[in-house]
Amino acid sequence: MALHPAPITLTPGVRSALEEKVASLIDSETGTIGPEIYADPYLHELEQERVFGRCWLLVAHESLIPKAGDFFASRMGEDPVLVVRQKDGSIAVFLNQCRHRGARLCRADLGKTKAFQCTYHGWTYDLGGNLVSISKSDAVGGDRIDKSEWGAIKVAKIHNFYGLIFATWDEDAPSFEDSLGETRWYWEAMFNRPGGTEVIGGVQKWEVPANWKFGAEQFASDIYHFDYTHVASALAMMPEGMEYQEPPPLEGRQFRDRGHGGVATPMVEMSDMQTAMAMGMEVMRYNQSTRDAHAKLVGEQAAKQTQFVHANMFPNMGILPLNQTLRIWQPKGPNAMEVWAWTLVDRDAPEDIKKQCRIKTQMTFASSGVFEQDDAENWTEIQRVLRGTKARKTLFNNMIGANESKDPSGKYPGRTDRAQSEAASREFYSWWRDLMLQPVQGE
Amino acid sequence: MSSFEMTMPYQRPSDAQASDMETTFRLSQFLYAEAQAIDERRFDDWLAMLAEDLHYEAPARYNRLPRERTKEWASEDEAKHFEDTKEYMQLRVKRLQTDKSWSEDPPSRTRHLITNVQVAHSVSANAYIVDSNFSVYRARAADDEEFFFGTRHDHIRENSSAPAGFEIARRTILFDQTLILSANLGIFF
Amino acid sequence: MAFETVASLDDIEDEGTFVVDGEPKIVLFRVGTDVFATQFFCTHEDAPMDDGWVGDDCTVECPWHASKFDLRTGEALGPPAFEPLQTYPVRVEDGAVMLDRG
Repeated sequence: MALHPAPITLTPGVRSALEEKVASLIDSETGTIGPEIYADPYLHELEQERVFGRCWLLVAHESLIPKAGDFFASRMGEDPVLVVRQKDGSIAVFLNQCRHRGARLCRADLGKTKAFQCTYHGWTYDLGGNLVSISKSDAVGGDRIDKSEWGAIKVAKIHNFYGLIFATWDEDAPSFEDSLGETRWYWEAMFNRPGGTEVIGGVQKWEVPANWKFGAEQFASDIYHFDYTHVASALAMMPEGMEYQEPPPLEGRQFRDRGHGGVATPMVEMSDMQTAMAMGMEVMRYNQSTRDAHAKLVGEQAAKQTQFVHANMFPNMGILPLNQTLRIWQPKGPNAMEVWAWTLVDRDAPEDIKKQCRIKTQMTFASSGVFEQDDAENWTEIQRVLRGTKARKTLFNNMIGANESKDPSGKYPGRTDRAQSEAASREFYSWWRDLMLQPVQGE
Repeated sequence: MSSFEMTMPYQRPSDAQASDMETTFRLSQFLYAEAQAIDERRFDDWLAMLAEDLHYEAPARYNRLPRERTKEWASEDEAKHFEDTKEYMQLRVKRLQTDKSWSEDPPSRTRHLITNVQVAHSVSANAYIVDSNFSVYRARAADDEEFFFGTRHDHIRENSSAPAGFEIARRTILFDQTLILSANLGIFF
Repeated sequence: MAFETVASLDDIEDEGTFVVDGEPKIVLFRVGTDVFATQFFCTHEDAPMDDGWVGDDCTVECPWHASKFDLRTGEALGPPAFEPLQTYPVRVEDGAVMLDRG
C-alpha cells in the first residue's frame, strides 16, 4: 500500500517559489523533465489547485447512471464528487461533502437514492446537491440558516461528450470542445460511434504506488515502450504456430494539442489482425460490420484513418481504443494513483460481443491484465528510485522524435508527428507547466 | 428489504451435502498441495490441477447503500478482476515463463495460507463444493509487500488421470478489498 | 365523510405513488392491487412522501431520513420519525381509486 502524505496548504509565497521551480523543471524546447514533478508534495498541492482545479475532468460515463437517482461516487483530483442523474434526465456533479461539518455525504461507490443524508447530524441534500433539510430545524434554530446558501458545492460546468461526462470547477474554463483544440477531430472519431457507447457495469479500481502522470504521459505519447515493456505478454499471446517477429513501424500519426495526445493509424488489413489478436475474431468481425455506419457519422476520412492505438485526454483520462479500456488516473498524493478502469463498448453491440470485449479487456488491461502489470511495474520502480535526492535532481530525457507538426500526406489534421515520438509527451508536460504557472480563482 | 447479511455472488447447489472426514481431509490436502505448487512457482504442476473447462473468476466488489447491499458484488455480466478459462491461465503462465515478464522479475515470493476448509458434495454439480479462506502474503524485491485476504468457492472434481487425483473446475475468488491495494493482480489465488 | 374517485389504479405503478392535490394534499401508494393514502409530508422533517420507497410489505420509507411507516396504520416503525402519518380510507372499485379525505 502506498504512503499518502498529509495534505499541505499552500500560501502565496510558497506558490510563487513553486512557480519558479516548475519553470525550471520542464524544458520542452530541449525535452527534459526534472523528476521532482512526480515526487514533491508541494508541487502535488499546486497541481491539485491549478491542473485538477481548472481542467475538464472525466467523472463518469452516462451509462453508469441511466435513471433518476442513480449516482456514481467519483473524484476530481483528490476531491470526492457525486455524479447524479436528475429527475429531468440531466446530470449534476457536486462535492461529496456536507456543508455543516464536512462529513462525506455518501459512502457508497455507486447506486440509487432519493436524497443524500449526512450521517453526522442528518443534514439532507436532494439529488442536485441542494440542502433540503437541516434536521431538528425548529428545535435548534435551523430556520435562521438560509438553506439555499448551504447546498453542496457544485462544479462550474458539466459536459456530456458522446456519453462521457466531464466537469470542471473553473467558471472561466473554455467550452469542452474548445479545450480539445486541434485534437477534437480525433476524439470525435473515437467516441462518436453508431448507436453510442456504454461502459460495462461497475468499475475496477486498484492502487498503483506511482505518480498519476506516468500513466497519463504514456497513454498520450508512448507506443515506443511496447516492444520492450510488453514483450513477455506479446510472446505469450502469439497464436500457436506463429512466430514472434519484430513489429513493423506503425503507420499513422501521433496527434497533440493542449496537453492531449494519442496515436491514430489507418484502417488497413493489419488493423484487423491487431484487433483479432487483442480482442478475438468475433470482435474483429463486429468492428468490420460497424465501419460503414461509423463513416456516415464521422466522415470517410476520419473513419478510414482512425484505428486508434492509445490516447490520453489531458489531464487524466486514458484510453486504448483497440483494447477498449477506458480509465481515469486518479491522483492520490504525489506517490500513488488509483486506476479506475472500464471496458468501453458500443451500446448496440450484441451481448456476446460485449462479453468478449469485457473478458479480453480484463485479461490485457485491468487489475490482473497481463500488459497492465508490466506498465505498473515500470512506473512504481521509477517512483521508488525517486526517494533518492540525487535521483530527483537527475533530468529525464524526453527527446525522442523531432517535432514535425504537419502530416506530409495531409490525411491527419492538426499538429501531428510520427507515431513513435515523444512530441505528445513534450506537449503534455509543456501544457502542464503552463497551467502550473497560471493562478486559478480562489487560491 | 435491506439486509445486513451478505448476498453471495454464486449459487450453492441445493443438494450439497457435507462430506465425511476422509473426503474433507483429502480435499484439504489437495488445496494445500495446490498452494504449495503456486508458492514454489511450479506453475506447470498447478495447471495440471485445473480442469480443461476451468472457470476462474473474481468479481469486482462495491461499497453500497444499506438498501442495495445485495449488490455488493459485480453481477455475472459486470466487471471482474479475473474471468479466465484454462487457455487464459496457460497464457498467464507462459508469460511468466518467458523471463521477460518484468512485473514478476524478480518473482513475487508468495505464501498462501489456506484455512477454514469446508467440503460438501453435490450430485447435481458433479463436484465437491469446497469453500476455503486465504491469506496471501506477497513479498517482492526488497521492501515491497502486499497482503490479500479473501474467500474462495470452488467446484472440485475427482479425476484419476490428474496427478493429484482432483481437478478444479470452477473457482470464485472473493477479495476483501473493494479498491485492490496492489499495483497488479499478477499472482494466483 | 364521502368517497370520491381520485385516480384509476392504472395511473399508479406497483410500489409507486400518486399525488392527490387539494386540501389536505395526499399521497396514494400502491402495493399489488392495494392502495393506501397518507398525508403528503413526513411527520419528521417535511420530506415529500411521494418520493419515498414503497415496500411490498406495505411500508413506505421517507426519502430523506429513511424512517419507515406502516401504510396500513401510518405508524412510524423506526427513528428519526416518531409521530404517525395521518392515513385516509381508500377503496378500489372496478379499477377506480376512491379516497375519503374526511
